[in-house]
Amino acid sequence: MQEAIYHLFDDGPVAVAPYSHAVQAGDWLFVTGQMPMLEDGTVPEGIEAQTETVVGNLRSVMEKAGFADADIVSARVFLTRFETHYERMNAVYAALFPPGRRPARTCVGVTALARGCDVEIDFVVRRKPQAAAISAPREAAA
Amino acid sequence: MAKVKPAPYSGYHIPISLDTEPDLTGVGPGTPGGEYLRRFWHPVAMASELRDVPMPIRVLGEDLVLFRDLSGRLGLVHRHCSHRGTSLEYGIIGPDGIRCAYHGWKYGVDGTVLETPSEPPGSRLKDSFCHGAYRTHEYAGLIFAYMGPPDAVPEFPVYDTLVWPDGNQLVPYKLDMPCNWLQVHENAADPIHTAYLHAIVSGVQFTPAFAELPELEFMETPIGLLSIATRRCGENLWIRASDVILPNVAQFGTGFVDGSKEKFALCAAFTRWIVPVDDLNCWVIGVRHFNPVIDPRNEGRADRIGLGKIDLMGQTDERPYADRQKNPGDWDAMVAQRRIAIRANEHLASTDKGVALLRRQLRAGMRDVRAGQAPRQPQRYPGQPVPTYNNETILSVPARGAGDAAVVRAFGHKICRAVIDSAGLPVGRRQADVEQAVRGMQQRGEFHAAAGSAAAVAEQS
Repeated sequence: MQEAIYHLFDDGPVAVAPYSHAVQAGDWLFVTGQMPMLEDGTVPEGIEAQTETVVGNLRSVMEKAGFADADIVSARVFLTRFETHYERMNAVYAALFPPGRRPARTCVGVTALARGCDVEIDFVVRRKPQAAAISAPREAAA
Repeated sequence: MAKVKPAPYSGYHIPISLDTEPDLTGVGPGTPGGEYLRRFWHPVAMASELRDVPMPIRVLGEDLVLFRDLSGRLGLVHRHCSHRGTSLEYGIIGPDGIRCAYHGWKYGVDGTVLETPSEPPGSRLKDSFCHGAYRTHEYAGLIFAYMGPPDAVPEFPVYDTLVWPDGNQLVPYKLDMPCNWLQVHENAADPIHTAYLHAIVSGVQFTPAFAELPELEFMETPIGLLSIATRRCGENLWIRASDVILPNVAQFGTGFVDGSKEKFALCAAFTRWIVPVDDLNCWVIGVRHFNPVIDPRNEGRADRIGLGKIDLMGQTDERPYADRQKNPGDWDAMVAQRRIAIRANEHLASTDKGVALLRRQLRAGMRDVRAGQAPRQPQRYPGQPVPTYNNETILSVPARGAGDAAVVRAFGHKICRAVIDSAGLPVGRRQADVEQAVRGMQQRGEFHAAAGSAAAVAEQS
């Protein structure tokens, strides 16, 4: 069995706590919950822009870990203002995935998130079978 | 007794008033402000918010329910059933009104008691009273209400900016503000803040052009006042003239002017009401305009406008507190004036003439209502929408050495004067005629000439 690979990228999304951006276990990538932070560390206004930013940050971690076109198997969405943001978040979220390829999802309202943010999303991702075969030698050499 | 300037470190000696001036800021029934505001139409919801169940809302301190009956008619009625007081938010909507869930009493959209089902046959109870109800009007994706005396309903004001230019698209929006309405409305008559809050102190929130300190002027108009900020942007001069319309309406230009392109837009990017929910909360509710005159480069974002959202930075609390502390926007500045701003603690300055004028106008309206007179309503012209004066004007008027501030002032003054004086012209022709007049002034160098003669008068006096 392969050892887990702990990905922490110098040029990744702003890391707000002691974590790896993602942990790879074989063909699986567990992406740390991302915040709606832009590259300059600020948060855009409005749950719509924040949701887009979070998913952009998740995709950038997937890409840096070599999982750019992998399957997003599941997502967890955390909202601090569930009643006012749930529908608005969904409207943007729905457009971020191709219809028929939306991840399994759990969405919950929570009391608070790091840095005072209103939304956090994490992903579990699995490499497509053919892609796994191609990348296997590179992992073995690492 | 002579006023002595307190020494530094003398917080102990500086009194802080706690007087919220309920006569000015209060909105409930019977208060001077509340009675005045009840003489006008106010938007109370976005039409898209209203689903197939009654919507509980609070407006001007009154608890109400808004619903659309199955015949499509809007109802806005007192929330608590006239029978035993349960909330009609649990009412069942029918083809001709709403039926209370508790004992089945049924009311029409106008408050007529239609049924009191468990009364004996022949009971005249239902004919003996009416349930509280208010008139409604749906326009531009907003639901308006009139909550004043039913024998003094003003004509619904369709402002010219809502219908001109042809094809103008209106996108409704509504934002929550947890503070008294008046401080939010006053912000519209305080244009100097756009330089400090939106550029100089907080960092650029709209465009860098806002960082240029404007020359200010406040002109009375037939509907309220025009808050005029005129700035230099290189070779061009830029007027951002905002309508502050009695009692609680304001219009604005765009937030994305960089001053580089000439523009004459006698119309608006925003028309919005500050509607009191109660003394401590209000809505910013209105419409964003999409048309090629106000937004020739199509920079507006219709997908960022709606319930709780607007395509202008800083209008909500939807950024983390830490971010808002470092880069506060309008929402933060206004809400942080206290839940109800306390005007007795202010030191109004030369840039606050607009705020002072607005308060005088509002107090005059409140006095009129108190004296039993109808307050000033928008001046109308037969067959025309209500003329307004909002304009975003950018024209090439290069600086000629010293004294440029006078040229900037003259530019703002002469153009806004022409805009106000043209009020009687029909919509469409008015915009064309004023643009022609303004272009004529530009070509004849009238802004420099006016500034020169103003300087000469100043030297003589």
